[in-house]
Amino acid sequence: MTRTSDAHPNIATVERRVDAIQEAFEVRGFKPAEAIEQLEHLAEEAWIPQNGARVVAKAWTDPAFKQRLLTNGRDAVAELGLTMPPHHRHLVVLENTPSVQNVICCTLRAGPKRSSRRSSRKNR
Amino acid sequence: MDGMHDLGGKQGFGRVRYALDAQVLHEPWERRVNALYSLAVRLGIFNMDEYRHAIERMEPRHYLTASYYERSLTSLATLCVEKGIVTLEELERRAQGSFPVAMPGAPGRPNVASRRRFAAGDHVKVRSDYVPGHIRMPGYIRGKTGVVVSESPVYPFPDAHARGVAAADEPTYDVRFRSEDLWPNSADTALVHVAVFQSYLERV
Repeated sequence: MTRTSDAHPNIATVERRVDAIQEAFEVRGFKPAEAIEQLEHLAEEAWIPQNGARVVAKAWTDPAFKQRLLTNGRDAVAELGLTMPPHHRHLVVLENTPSVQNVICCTLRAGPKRSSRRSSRKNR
Repeated sequence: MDGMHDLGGKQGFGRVRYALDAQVLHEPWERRVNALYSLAVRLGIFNMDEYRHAIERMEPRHYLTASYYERSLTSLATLCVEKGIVTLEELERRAQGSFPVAMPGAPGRPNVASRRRFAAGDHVKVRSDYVPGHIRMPGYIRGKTGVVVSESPVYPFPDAHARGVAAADEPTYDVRFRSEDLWPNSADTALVHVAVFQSYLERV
């Protein structure tokens, strides 16, 4: 993945570099193994595309929910059991119409080789 | 800063390639990086603005050739070293090789003193400031004029928050620009909306 540059002829592999951070965290009692395991669970089981699909489907079939969703997305998705961490203060939902299509371009940098599909959640 | 990360409007890349079923996380090490930097944020080692700035100030050639998660890894390591959590020497000893980190970067700045509220419909101009530190203004809107569509809730002001400078949270404005104004004779006709922090704008 990383090309060796002239500036770093002895660059460690990415795996070894991640190991280094993880080990440094481990010896300092930060419990990185638990954090990794927890994220695995969240990524595999909790943060799934069906969450968004449920929200959209409800907005399509329940006009009152749709209005709540467009007014305060964070509170609205909480009705469906979807919670957000405190520092994600807001969830802004935009509606696509026949004349307006919203494309969210994450301003974080893109990778050189692969595309990234981001959720439609605006993260500040 | 006008760094390598600011790719909006840059030419020569060809068409955007995408796959509808592209995986977000590929290798196990990428999942580990994601978990480790999230852990660092939870522990208060650094905030998200510091995290983004540390990516932006990577050595340019390293930035351009690194994958998304290698940039994340580099930011994590850079900030852990700068915050005194671990030394670079220890990381490189554990990694059994060199561990490139980002360059120092420039200091932050507080809120712009003349910032003001805007309302939907206001014509605004993006200030022609050249900010060496962290800024969430893409270069392609600098000095450009647009129309305010809406105001979004306040968030920490990145230019300050990325460098431990005291500042008030600011709202962002959804500003609508015409592509013909952003890239004259070089783009399809379109309206481009950019979320712009209050300090980056002045009234027209």
